[in-house]
Amino acid sequence: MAQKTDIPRKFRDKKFTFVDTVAEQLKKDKNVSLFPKDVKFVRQEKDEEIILVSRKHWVAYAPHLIMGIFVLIIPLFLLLINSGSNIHFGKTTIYLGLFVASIVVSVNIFVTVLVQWYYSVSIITDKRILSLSVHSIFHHSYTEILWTKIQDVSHDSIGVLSSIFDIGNIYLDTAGAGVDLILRYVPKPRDVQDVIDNLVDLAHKGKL
Amino acid sequence: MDNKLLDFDKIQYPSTGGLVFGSITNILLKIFVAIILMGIIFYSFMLILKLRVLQDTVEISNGNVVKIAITVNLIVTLGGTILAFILILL
Repeated sequence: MAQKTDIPRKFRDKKFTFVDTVAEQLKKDKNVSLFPKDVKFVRQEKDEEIILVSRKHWVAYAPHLIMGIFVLIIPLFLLLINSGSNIHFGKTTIYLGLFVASIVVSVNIFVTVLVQWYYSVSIITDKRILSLSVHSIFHHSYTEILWTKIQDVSHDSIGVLSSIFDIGNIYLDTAGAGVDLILRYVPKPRDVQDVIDNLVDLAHKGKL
Repeated sequence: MDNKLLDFDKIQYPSTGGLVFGSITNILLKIFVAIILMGIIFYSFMLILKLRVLQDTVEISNGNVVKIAITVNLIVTLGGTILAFILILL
């Protein structure tokens, strides 16, 4: 069970059922931090407490990481082809230069992935849920929904990787057509949904 | 008697086609790499600006790790680009 001292006084009430049921499970995951004290966001109110911060699982960035490694290999591959054939295209220094350039490109890809992973967060507070998604270095989106506006919460877990790493997508639906917020590649989606369900339920009953 | 004028079929002319093709592709490759490297420098500067925007949106106390990573990335990019320019273009 979660240490009582780690839990803010406000959430020691029995109405927050997730503290007893899923808090311990979520604490084990490195992509999730429960009751973090070092996170703030731009529209946070003075009495607003952050309950959970969840990052995308690293599997979401696996294609980028593979691309970074692939870029690093290309000049070596070209040099290998060139040394095997009779036609010598360019000096060896060109391939060395290409290798240096590929290191630069790879480092940029890896740092971009780090920024994307670090700042693509879903923050669950006692008033709302917000999601910051860094799609690329030129595109990010910020969405927030108050608990009272949420009508329906669901999750899915599709594919081999989802089963291996226990990741999934959580869908939050407000009044009106379509799903309004999708949290992708969430680790332990059932437990995160439990937290959301508990907070939505309390908000609708006016107990939050 | 040797008559060189009659042995015109034995004269070997230098083949320039391969050299011309090689130099054109060489120049094209250099221009291509130069554009990519300039783009990468611009991109690493954009990373710093983006980080500033993201830090204003969500403040995470140990965000300095990312700041250090981006600064190191900029230094590596500038150094690597200069080295790559020297090796490829010169």
